[in-house]
Amino acid sequence: MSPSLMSVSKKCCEEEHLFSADDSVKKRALIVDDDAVNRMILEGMLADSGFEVYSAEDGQQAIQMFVDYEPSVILMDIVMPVLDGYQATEKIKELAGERFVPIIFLTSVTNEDELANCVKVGGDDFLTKPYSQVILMAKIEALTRLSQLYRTIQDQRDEIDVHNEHMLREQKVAKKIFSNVVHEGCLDMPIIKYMLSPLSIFNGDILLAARTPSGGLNVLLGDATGHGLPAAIGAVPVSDLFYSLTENGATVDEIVLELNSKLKAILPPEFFFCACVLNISNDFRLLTLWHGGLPEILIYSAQDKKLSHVVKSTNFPLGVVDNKLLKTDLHIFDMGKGDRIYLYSDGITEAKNIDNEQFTDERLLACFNEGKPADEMFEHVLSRVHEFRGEQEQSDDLTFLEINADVDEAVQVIETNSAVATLPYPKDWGMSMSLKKQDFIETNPVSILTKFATQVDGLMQHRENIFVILSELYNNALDHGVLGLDSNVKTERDGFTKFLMLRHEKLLELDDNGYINITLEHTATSGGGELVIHVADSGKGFDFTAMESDMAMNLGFSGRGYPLLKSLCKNYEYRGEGNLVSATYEWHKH
Amino acid sequence: MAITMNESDDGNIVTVKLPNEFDFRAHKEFRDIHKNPKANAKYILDFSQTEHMDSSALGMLLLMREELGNDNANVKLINCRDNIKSLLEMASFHQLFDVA
Repeated sequence: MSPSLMSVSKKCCEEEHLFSADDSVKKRALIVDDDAVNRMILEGMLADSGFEVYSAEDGQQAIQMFVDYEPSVILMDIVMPVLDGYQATEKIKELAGERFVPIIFLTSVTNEDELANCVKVGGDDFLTKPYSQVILMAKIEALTRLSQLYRTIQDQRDEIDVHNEHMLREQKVAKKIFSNVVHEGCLDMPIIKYMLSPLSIFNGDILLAARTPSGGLNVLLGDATGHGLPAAIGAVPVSDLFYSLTENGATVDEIVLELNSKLKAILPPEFFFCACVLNISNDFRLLTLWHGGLPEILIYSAQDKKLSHVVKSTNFPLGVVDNKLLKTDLHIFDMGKGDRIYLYSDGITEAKNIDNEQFTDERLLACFNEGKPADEMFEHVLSRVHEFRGEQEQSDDLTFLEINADVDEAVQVIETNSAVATLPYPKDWGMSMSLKKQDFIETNPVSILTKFATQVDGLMQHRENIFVILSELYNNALDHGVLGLDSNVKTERDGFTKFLMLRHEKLLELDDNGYINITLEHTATSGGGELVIHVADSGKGFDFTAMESDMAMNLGFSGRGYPLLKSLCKNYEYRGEGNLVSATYEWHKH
Repeated sequence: MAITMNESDDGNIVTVKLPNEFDFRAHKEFRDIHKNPKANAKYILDFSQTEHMDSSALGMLLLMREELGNDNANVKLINCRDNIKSLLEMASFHQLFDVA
């Protein structure tokens, strides 16, 4: 006898709602029993409850009907010809795979082992004959509910999988766009070594590098609060601005102010960027850096084989305060051949070991005193961090950068940089600027003057030098002249911070008699020119003859950037009471 | 460890004890503390239990300061360990908050 559809109930019974969570699909039940009477009783019962009922006479038929009709519940006898209930159940469960199709054994067997076997082969429940109709229908109801729950969970899982796949695909595309905007610029220069290890698909740390119009190098390392998408979004305008400002020859402090005002405007209050922006002149000698909120920046002296400077942050990170509260104090260093600059994000110092201890600044600084050659220092430090961390998982973005102030290398790469086109400009010219209290507080004459002076065709290549000379002269005139601050404060512990606070106080106290006058005179020569800078301040001057003789005897006097200025300028001299200074910069076209 | 909060009898001083690890996980709880700020109240953040803090905690402090009226915010950070202090100084936060 072939399997047959015994009865399809058309009437709608009162309990139907119990079994029809999904109204559009009628529930199907499969009855498997070799006894025709048993089958008939069950068929009637289930049809009355609103099921579409199918019946099989043995296990083999049951498997076939399961495949053909996909029932939502199966009632299974144990002892049957051809294939018994245990074997049929095993096969059906295997065919069902991930789907949950409840199977209830209906049996006259009362042996406990046999009953336990019903569950072992994959059955979901059992009932011994004679069974009560109420109990059977209640069990079917419970299992149907369970299978609906099971299906809901599966559907949700599948939905999550689809969403997840979709999200990953979107992230991939976004990452592509992101890396086009936040590109690495010229980080592939041979004098730069770096490591960036993104914790998530987007990185909270950004590292940017670009050549300046004069052939120097600008670098930015930023560490956004948090990581992932919000951090990455903040990185986009930073990168955009950094590259366009660098291309336009903006100075470090101009870049810092632009970035700060942009980030302050777009970031929510709890987000900000710890950053360092630095410039290295085209002869790779002068390092100008602004440092806001990153861990200490390290400068390693190749000659002394040790760290020569540890630069602490004295400024707010970008995006915390308005431009008028942001300080653009720059650190300027005279780099020797082969000296190295190290920048890193807190991922290094906060790397944790198995005992949840942090790597800390102390351990980092110690790495530099282990007598490793400068060439291997970068790898050495990283291997120390890895050793320390051991098997611990990385918990923050880890960024580490080394720049090698190798002069020969720098000269080689200068050629690749074309100077920006400049308009015809007078060769011989002069200008002067007079500054008072409000100007000291609100303006940045150094950037303005640098920009103005370096418009002369060819002088652009000397832009970083001019900027450094003007910065040093202006800051000397303001700090030591007009404000009368003692530079010895800076050499104390935390002296630089103290110095800045003092300076801030004195600036506010200043009366209207304080002034700085700056005069620039340029004369063309064949193949270049001479720029003379005169700075006069309202201060009471100082004993410059003593300083000059100290310098001549090499007593290590380091105030007022004297050695640096003396070596950059053809002529550098104090006059009057020491409140007048003239510097002559001689230049040639490259 | 949870954040606990105490108000003085007159409600003018709110003392907040911060957790052992003050980081992004404390975000919601910390936020609740200053969601409905009391006018003119002085907030004391007690770091005595806090061993570590991350940059998102700095962000939370900024958010609190903003919601308490920026320069008008009266927030004092007390019992800070050296590592916490140096993290605050690294970002110049000692210029925004009274740190002790």
